[in-house]
Amino acid sequence: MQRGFLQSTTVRLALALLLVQVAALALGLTIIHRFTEATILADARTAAEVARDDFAEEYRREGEAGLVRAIRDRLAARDDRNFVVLLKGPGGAPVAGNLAQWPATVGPAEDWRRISLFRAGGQAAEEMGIVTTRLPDGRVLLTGEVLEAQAQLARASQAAFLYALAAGILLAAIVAALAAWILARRVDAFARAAAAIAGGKLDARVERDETGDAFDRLGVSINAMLDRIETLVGELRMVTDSMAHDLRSPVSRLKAVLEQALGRTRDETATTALAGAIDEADSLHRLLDTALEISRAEAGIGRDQFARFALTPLLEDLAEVYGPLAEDEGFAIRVDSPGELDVVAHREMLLRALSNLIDNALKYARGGSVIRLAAVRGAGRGVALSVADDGPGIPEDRIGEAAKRFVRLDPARGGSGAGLGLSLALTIAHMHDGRMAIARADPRGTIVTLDLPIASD
Amino acid sequence: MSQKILVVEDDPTTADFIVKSLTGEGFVVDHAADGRDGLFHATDGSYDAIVLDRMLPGMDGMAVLAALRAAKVATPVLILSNLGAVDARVEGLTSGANDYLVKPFAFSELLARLKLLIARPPGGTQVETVLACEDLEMNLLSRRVTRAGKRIDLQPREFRLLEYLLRHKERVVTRTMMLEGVWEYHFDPGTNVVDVHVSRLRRKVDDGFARPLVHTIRGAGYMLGKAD
Repeated sequence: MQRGFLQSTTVRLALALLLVQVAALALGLTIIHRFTEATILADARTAAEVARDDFAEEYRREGEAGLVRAIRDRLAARDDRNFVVLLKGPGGAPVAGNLAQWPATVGPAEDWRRISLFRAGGQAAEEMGIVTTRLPDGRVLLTGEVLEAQAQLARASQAAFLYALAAGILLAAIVAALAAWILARRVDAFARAAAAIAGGKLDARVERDETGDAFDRLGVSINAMLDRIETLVGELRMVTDSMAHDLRSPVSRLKAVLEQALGRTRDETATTALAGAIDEADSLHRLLDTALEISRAEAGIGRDQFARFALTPLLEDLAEVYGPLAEDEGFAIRVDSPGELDVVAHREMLLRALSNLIDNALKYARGGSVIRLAAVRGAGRGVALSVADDGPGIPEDRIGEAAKRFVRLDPARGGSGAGLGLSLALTIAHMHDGRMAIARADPRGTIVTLDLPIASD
Repeated sequence: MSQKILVVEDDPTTADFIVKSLTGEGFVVDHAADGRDGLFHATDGSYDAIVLDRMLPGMDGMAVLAALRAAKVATPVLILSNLGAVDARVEGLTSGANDYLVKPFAFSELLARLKLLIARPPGGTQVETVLACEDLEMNLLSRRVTRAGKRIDLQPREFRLLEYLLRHKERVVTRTMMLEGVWEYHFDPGTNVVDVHVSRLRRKVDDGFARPLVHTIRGAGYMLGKAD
C-alpha cells in the first residue's frame, strides 16, 4: 500500500530544502534589519545629544529666555520633523517644547531611552528616543527624535521578508522538483533492473551513465553483485537440473524392471507389491519432472509459447476434470468467472499451476466442502486467478513456509503430494511477470491467488 | 506377419532395453546407433513404425525426421525427447512426428503408443458413425450409447472418454494417453484424476452386466474389451 504524500522521500526532501532556505533567508534579513536599525538609532541618539548640548550651552549663555527662544526657533525652522524637545520649569510645568506633557517616568538625567509619548496636538503616541539633562535652578531639558525611520525600516523589513519568502518557496519548490526528478531518474534505472530480475530475467543489469558519480558507482557495485548472483543461481540450477535429470534414468530403469516382473508373475501378493512399487516409481518420476519444470520455467524457457486464449473455458475444463475426484473427496468445485476474459499466457503452464493448486486444496482442505476457482479482472492488464477452499486453513505463522520448495505443512501427513506443487505455481506466476499470494480465506480456509498481467485487450 | 520397428537410439543401455522389450512383445526390431545409419534404414519404407531419439551423434533426430518426410516416407515416427513435456509436444507437433515421449519413459507407455501408431488407418480417419465393442454400441450422430440394447446415459466428458476407449478398443491405453486424448492435458496432474473418471464410466457401462468391458491393466493403464 502507498504511504501518505508527506511520507514520500522526495516530498520530505523538498520540504527540508524549503525549510533550510527559509531559515537562511530569515537569518540574512534579520541581520540586515539589526544593522540598519542600529545605524538609525545611533543617528537619532547623536541628533538628540547634539541638541541637548546646544540648548544647554544656550541656557548657560542666555538664560531661560534665550533657551525658550532657541527652542521656538528650532521648532519653527521645521528642518527636522522628528525633533522633540521639552523644557520643564522649576515647578514641574512644561515651559517650552512640542511634547504634550512631561512624562512621569522620565527622570532628570536619562542617558538614552526609548519611550512612547504624545507630541503636543498629536493623535497617537509615537515611539521616540530621548535624553534628558538637568539645568541649573531645578529646570530639566528633554531632547529626542521620533523614530519614524526605524518604524519604516521595520515595515520595509517585514515586506521584504514576505516577498523573499514567496520567492524562496517558489525557488525551493523548483529546486526540490528538479532534485526529485534527477533522483527519480537515477533510481529508476535501479528499479527497472530490480523488477526485471524479480521477473526472472537474471541477466538484467543497472544501466550505467558513465558519469562516475555516487549513483554510477552504486550501479557498478550492484551489477558486480548481480553477476555473482547470476553465476551462483546458474550453478545451482545446473546442479539441481542434472541431479533431477540423472535421477530420472535409474527411476525409469527401475520401472522397466518392475513392469517386466509384473508381466511374468501370477502370484497375487507379488502382483500387488509390484503394482504399488510402480506407482511409487511414477510419483518419484513426476516429482523429478516437476523439479525440472520449475527450473526450466525459472530460466524463462517457454516464454515464446505464450498464446491468446479464453480463460473461462479453461477454468470450467479444470472443474470438469477434477469434478469427480473432488466429489469423491467430499468437495464441489465452483467456477466464478466473468463471461469472456481473453488472456495471453502459457496455457499449459497456467493449467498446470491451477491443477497443482486444486490438487493441494484437495489434499489439505480436509473437512471443507467447496473449492472455488475464480478469475477477476484487475487494473491494467491484471487478472487475479484464485483457488480457494473452506478447509481448516494454514496457520497464520506458517503461511510463508507454504510457498517454500519441498516444505509440506504437516510433516506427519502422508500422501504423495510434495510441496513442489506450490513452488511450481509460484514459478509459473513469475514466468508471467506476476505474483502468487497465499492467505487465509474469509471466513475459513485458504486462498491462493495468482496476480498476473495477462489480460489480452 | 510380424510388425517391423526401427529403433534409432545412440545410448546402448536405452537401445538394448527398447530392442529387448519390443522383441519380447513379438516385434521384429532393427537398431541404428546414429542418425545417418537410421536415415539409411528408414528410407526403404519397410517399417511399421520408427522410434527416433532426438539427440543423436552425427545427424540430429529432427534432421533425420525432416529428411524422411522430404523423401515422402510416411512411416509413423515416435520421437524420444529429452526436453520437458511441454516443449517436446510443441516441437513434436511442428516437426512432422506422429507422437512423442519424454525420456525417461515407461516401456508400457512406449508400447501402448507404438501399437496405436501402427494401428492408425493409413488414409487418415474415415468417417465412422457407430463405434462398438462386443454388445456396447455408440452412435456418434445421435450420441446414443447402448449396452445389450439398454440405453446408457453419459455426461459429455464420459461420452468422450468412452469414445476414446472405443476407438482404441482391445488395446492398452495409458493414463497419459487418456489425459492427452480426452482432456488435452499434456502433463500428468499426478493424482488419480483419470482413475476416478474411468471408475465412474465403468459403473455406468459394466454395472448389471455379467461380463465387464473396462479392464484395469496393472502398472500400465486401461483396456476396453477382450478380457482373458
